[in-house]
Amino acid sequence: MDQPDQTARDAARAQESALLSRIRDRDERAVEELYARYSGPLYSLAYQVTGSDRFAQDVVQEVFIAVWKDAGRFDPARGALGPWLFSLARHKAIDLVRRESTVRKRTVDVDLAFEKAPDDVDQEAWLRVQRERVRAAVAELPENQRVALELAFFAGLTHVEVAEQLGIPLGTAKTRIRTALLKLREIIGTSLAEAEPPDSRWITETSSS
Amino acid sequence: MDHRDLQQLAAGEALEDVGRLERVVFAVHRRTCASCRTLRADLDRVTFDLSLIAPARRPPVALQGSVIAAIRATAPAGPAPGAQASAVGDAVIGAAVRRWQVLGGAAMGVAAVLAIVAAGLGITTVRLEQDLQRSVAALEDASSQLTAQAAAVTVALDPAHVTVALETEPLAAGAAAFVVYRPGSADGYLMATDLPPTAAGQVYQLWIADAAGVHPLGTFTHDGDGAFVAPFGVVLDAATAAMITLEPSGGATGQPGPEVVFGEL
Repeated sequence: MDQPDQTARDAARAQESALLSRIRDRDERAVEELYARYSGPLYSLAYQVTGSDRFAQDVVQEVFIAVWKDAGRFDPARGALGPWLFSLARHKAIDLVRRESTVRKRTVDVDLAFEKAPDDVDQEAWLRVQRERVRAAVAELPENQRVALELAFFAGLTHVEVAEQLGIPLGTAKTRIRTALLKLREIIGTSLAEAEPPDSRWITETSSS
Repeated sequence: MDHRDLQQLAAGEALEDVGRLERVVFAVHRRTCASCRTLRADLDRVTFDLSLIAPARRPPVALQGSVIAAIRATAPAGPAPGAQASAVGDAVIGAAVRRWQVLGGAAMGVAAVLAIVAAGLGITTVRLEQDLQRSVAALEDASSQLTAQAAAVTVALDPAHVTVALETEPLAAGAAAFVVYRPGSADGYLMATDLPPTAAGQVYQLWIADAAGVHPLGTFTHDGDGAFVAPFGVVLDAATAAMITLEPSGGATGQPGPEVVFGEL
């Protein structure tokens, strides 16, 4: 589904807006719906960054508290809800990692590019294809850029720490990491955030492992 | 100015690893660069895609109950202007640019209409002249702000530039402010983000201190919308400190008013 129709995307956006509107109206069931939809992938990301079940749970909880306290911070004009939630989760996870050196030690070895998710996770073919597309895009990056990006993105290392870990100058580390992200933008093309099926069911599938 | 440097800043920001100055520089730049606003949004989507390839894990069943219990114990937040501005940065910036464009267009429209009225009908009234002056002044303010922002970004990207971070006072809690200047020239700017808006009847005023004393410089209003840039317009090489104070319209007449940001150069 590389070219999903605009109507489907609009419908998904409208559904998200309605959900957040209910949360602003203090509707706990809306939080439950949001949780059912996103808790799995958010937890997965938080676990990947922190390397800790406890910290991953803390991150997920903090994300939902942040949404509950101030759902108005989400601006639909900037994009879909998913990227915003993931951004919140990653930000909170990185904060935790940077505060907790013990967590840091467990997360500096990152190897995602060729790691397979459990078979029973990706039951839906569409999602499997899309995720493989992103993995393939990451694999297309030059090795030195890929490694630097993974350390920065999934291990929550600062640019300074990535430079130390790889034994390269800070400026080189910054360039590798940032260039990698810019290249991914070109390689991936249509984002999963945009190629969203109408009912957003796919994202729930990632939490069903 | 190398636009690739700014694109790198966009990537750094998407990865949440940019310095405060870099953040301010990019915030200022993207107000006037549509392609970088698009790039920044695209990079958010790329990070979203990356997030999804983290190996899938199932959260503990008990977590949902903990989340619901936590939100029940959490009071909703009141309006948080700073956070709101940060969360909707792109939209705000875009809106600001559009507003300036509209403002510019409106001002020119008003000016044209007034000119036609004045020339065609020979009618000149104090009211019309005042409207015209206000419109032209607004257009000039918008134009000078855009010019200052572009110039400040150019200086910030110059390898020879000097940067000094300023301390924010309680009046500007949560703001970030820097002085960037090119030594030996009058190319010096104060760049800030998240400065609170100036109230009606108040202005921000720039000051510098040097061996000869403390010198008031220009005054500025700020609507609290996105980045704030103010030119010093003087050579800063001999300056020992810079600050912004809050003053009544027209600026300080004697001693500086309450400090908003301050830093030794």
